[in-house]
Amino acid sequence: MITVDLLSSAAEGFSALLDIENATILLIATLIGLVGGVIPGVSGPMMVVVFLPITYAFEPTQAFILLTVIYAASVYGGMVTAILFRAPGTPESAMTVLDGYAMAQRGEAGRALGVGILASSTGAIIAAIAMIFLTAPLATLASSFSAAEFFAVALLGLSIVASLSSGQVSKGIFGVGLGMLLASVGNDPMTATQRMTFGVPSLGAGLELIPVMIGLFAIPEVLRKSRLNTNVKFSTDYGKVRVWSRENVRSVSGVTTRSGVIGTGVGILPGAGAVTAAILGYSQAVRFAKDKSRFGKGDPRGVAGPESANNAGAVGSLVPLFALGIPGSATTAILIGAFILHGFQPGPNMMSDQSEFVYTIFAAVLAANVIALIVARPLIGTLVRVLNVPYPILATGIIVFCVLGSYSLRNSTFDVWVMLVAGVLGYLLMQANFPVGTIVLGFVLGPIAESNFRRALMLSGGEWTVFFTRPISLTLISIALLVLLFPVLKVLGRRVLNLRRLSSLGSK
Amino acid sequence: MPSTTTRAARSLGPYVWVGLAVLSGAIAYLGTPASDGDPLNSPGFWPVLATVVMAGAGVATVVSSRLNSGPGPTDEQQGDHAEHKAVDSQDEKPVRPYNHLYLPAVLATYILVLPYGGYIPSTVVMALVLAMLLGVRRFYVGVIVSIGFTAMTTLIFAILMNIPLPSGRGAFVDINAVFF
Repeated sequence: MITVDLLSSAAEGFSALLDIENATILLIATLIGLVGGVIPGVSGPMMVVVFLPITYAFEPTQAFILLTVIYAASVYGGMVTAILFRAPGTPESAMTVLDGYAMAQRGEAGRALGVGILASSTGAIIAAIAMIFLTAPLATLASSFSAAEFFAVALLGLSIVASLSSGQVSKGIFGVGLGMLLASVGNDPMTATQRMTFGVPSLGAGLELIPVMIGLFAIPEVLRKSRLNTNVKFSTDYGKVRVWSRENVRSVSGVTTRSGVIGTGVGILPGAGAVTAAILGYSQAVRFAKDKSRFGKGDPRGVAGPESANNAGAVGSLVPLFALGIPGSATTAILIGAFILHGFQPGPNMMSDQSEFVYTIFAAVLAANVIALIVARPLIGTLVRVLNVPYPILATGIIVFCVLGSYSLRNSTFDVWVMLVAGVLGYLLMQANFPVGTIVLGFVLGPIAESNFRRALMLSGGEWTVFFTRPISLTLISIALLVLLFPVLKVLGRRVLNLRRLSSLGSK
Repeated sequence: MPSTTTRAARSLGPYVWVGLAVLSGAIAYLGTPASDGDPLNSPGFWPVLATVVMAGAGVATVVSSRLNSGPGPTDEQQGDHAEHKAVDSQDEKPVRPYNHLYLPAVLATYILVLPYGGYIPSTVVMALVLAMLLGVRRFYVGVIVSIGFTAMTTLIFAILMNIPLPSGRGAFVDINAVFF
């Protein structure tokens, strides 16, 4: 029964894509994502926040086709500079450098790009199909949740701070706290009491998410690059790109499929994400290979593994977003903010109440990757030439769009001030190696956690044990704590092992 | 070799997080009204909890920096920042060392001028100054870029999306009225 409903919802989603406006936006978003992913310094989160204000006037389906497809396609574009110039366009493509650049050095850049295109699309298509079939059952499981469970889910979402701030967990937790604090400025969600407004009328409605996100993701990168020499010319010589050659299909199909499945699984896990997926994709490519000696020296399987896994991971991270309303990465945290801005609350209710809307987005992500597979090869020359658009011109455009995007939310210069202050703060934090994505995580999930926490307390008559007496809530809180404490436990475990090793050496 | 001042700044760095947490705690405490009800369900609980999280994380940062006084995290450990390092490792030396100060100053001036000058004149001037600061070499290219982006954003936001942009005051109202 569920399968029939699911298939009919999926069919409705695909038929909605046949609408000429939806199809045009899908095509444009795919191209924007591909182009943005190629340019180093223009990240996926930055593109989503810069284009978010344009969606204010859009119908919600079109707005989210644009944003989710830009996100999915941006991961795809990151491999081009990773292969040609040893400079990954996105962090997800860092592993692709190892063999992709080595192939380019050997004069096989065209083949590396072809393998990358084939693997990226295949991985993302595997994940998109999994998303269509897995999200609804997961959301059905979550549909019986009460406020206590939703608080626990929000807490689980906040615990992904550990992955957003790898190596800097304490700073990441600080960022989550800061985000929660900033989000609580303005009206108290339960009593409408004013909090931390200090009599400033503009603060009465609170700080808007969009200017904060634009400030934190777009402005710091522009400030950082504005100080550097950006007049670097990239060579556009890469040879002939072959995607569907027999040689490519034979040599990488196994790795691509395996990495696609692994990447999807990793993406679905809260707290993992596309970067982890790429690392696992590469390591499994090495593990399953009979001849491991060529890895790192230009093996096409070393390109296919991480590229298939990172694209699958990026798409897979949309599953917890739609099924549970928790983000799997900084960009999906921004997407949650975008949903809230358009009046939606991602999670099980959205899956049941707006299933056509959700499946149209799923269909768009799948279609975008098929389009990317078709257009990437003829477009590769243009994508490489885009790299040579002078950064001063690009940055000027980014700033003008950021200013107007912040202003147009409420037609208020106050929001532009918020963007500027968030931008300067973001720049200072970036200089201190601070993971700014965690502030957005706290800003987006903090109010959801607070309102469900207080609603659960009210429903239980003020009994705080309600979070620990309900099995699902207790399980989710335990998982959140484990995810959060894992990096600390890992470090402690390593230290204990080192101490044991030292003491055994000493006794010898 | 790092100077004494740099070393002192580095060793004091982690304490900044604790200081920020304490400052935020004071703002949260002073900015939320007292409540007689259940403290866990009061308007002040969540902001205070946020600052407690910040303070705890700040203390953890101090402790971890004391324990790990060795080399900093690798590129891999730094996640998102690894990208920047990989991309710019060829040329990380600043060629315009004060741009991170000039750009916010230009933006702040622009926000102050915007209600008076209106969108078109203020944005054209701001975009031109930014383009020149960011490294556009020829003045006429800067002019084309600034007019181009202003026209593009006016078309998208004011004309297609019907968003009322600032029309300025006095004579600037007439100038802006020509475009939207």
